Amino acid sequence: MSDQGIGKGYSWKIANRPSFSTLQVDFTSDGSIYSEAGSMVYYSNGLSIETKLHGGFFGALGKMLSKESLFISQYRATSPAKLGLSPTMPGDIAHIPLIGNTMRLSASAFLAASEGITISTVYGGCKSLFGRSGLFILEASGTGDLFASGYGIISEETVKGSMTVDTGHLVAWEPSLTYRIKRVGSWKSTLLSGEGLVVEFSGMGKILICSRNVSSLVSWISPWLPA
Amino acid sequence: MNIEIIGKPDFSLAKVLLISGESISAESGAMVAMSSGIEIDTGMRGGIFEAAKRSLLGGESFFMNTFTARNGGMVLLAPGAPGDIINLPLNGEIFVQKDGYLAGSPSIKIETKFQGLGKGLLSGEGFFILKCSGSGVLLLSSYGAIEEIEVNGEYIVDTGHIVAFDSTLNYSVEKLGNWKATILSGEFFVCRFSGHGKVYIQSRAVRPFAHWIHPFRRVKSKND
Amino acid sequence: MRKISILHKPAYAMARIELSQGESFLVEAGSMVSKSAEVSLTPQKVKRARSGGLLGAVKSMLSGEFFLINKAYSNLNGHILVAPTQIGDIIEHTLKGGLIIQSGSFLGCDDEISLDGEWQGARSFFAGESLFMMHARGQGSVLMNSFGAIDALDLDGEFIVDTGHIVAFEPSLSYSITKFGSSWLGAFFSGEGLVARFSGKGRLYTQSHNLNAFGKFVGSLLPPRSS
Repeated sequence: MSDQGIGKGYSWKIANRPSFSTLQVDFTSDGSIYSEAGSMVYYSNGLSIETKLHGGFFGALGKMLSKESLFISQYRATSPAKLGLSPTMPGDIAHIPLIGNTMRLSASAFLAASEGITISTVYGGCKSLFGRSGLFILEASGTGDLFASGYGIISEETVKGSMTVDTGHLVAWEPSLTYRIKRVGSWKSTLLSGEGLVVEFSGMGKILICSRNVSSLVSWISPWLPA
Repeated sequence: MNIEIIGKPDFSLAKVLLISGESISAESGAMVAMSSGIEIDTGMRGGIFEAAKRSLLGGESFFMNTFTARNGGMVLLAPGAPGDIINLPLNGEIFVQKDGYLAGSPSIKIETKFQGLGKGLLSGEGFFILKCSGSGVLLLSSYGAIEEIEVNGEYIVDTGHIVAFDSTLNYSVEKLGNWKATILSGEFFVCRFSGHGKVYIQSRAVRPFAHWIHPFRRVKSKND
Repeated sequence: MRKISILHKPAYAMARIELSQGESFLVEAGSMVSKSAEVSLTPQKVKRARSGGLLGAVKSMLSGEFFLINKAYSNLNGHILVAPTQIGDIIEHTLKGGLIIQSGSFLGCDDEISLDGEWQGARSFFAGESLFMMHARGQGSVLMNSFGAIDALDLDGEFIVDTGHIVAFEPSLSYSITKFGSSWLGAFFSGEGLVARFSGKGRLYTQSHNLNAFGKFVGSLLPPRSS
């Protein structure tokens, strides 16, 4: 996973890796990036910014996404400009280049994408899994730069046959992998989800996981909260 | 068993490679990922856990999962808190702060101990420690970074910043100064270590974080 | 000679302050991690919080927002380790001409520095009541903490930053506060979305992540409170 690169009309760099990664974009001319509105840290003059409600983008996914809102901001450079973006949760950012192919992403992992990449939602599994403990899946396709964020460090694992992953630790995976979402018994229970959810991957392909998850953070802090 | 700590020191992840028949126990909720062929057994640790002490923990259960590889496999483990993980092979005994135990060999005996102020206005306040004894693998996790301090004489540590300490050390829980000073200073309970031994401290404490995040919670409604 | 070193940057930074006989340093209440026996810690002064007077201040005392200081004093050679509540970075700044610091970012300073908890510009700066600024003046060093990694930027020209990412800035900078986005649609559910447009010359310290957004997101997933 690289730290920096050049895209269409901009160059990018991931600073403060791996624990407080920030995406820094240096627009040269006419480049365009879009991202969830709350992730803006700083920008300089030279950018035209359009923020709009993107209802169909995330559907009715609500709080679980770590998004402040369902607003998407599109940044387009009219002259050389700088932009800094960071996710809500601390951790790493992975650059995923797309050249006409597809990548699956956990919805909370979406940070930003360049114009030329389209994001759509994918049905995440059996009906009973939607709601607070559901897994919301996005599919990114097209050509350009995709940036995914994870809570904690992001690690790449190769699936050769089968692998079981806790849903809260999923960042992204190759569409060549098939998966099954399972609700497992008390052994994976957390305060938030009650019963745990895991994803069982099969086939051959790469997955990106992150080393922390918000449900476990909630379980850890809850006994210490005042009434 | 082969253990690798990935991503040190921030948001560390423990990669445990088990050969056929090997097991590792981990606190409930610690599994990030695992390969095929791993069997999971749930339970509370060895029946040593006393009901009376359990209630002091606010009803929180101390569940453990034991992962056994049928034909060899991998388990990735992480704690709930942001911080580091250290691999501290045990041969003897060590005191570990309750949230500091991540995983270890199933053969390691774990007893809970409550170290409080004893008498006085705030008796009942203090901190919970686990006494881990035996031989085997022990993985500790911290909130924040881990710093190893060699005590040679006397050293004072805020109780919220303790991960673990050698059983060879003498320790006593105190308040910092007189009552007015304690409340105004914001430093409540400190642990005074003396003698010789190691203390593992963490650079963040859970209580101030819990108090900070408390106002962000929604208020209970009639429907809750 | 008092010596400051910062350990475990940038995610879980701690400051180690070594004091020679007779030396002292001021530290934020509740920030002590550990200390050698030679160092004593005594409450120093009580500054009133911006809202609610002393009573309001006591309520938020444990959150670190209440402006309480401890004096660390060593009668022989000793050291004290201090850390903030939040994960993130710590930086030492040598004062020349003062510094305006976001109160949650204050960790410690030399004894000779004067701290004014009622900075005039505070009210216009932040719409939310949860933040207030302090003005540090005098000779010596100030220790600041951040949520995320700290970036020190020497500004010369216009620069726009989301207010949740400001740690501190030199009073030589001028600024104006506006809502982010071209229209009021850019306002987020969180009620933030304020940006500061800085101009002039001076140093600005930013933090890579937004503490309020993090608190709101994680807070929304915690069990409800009784009051």
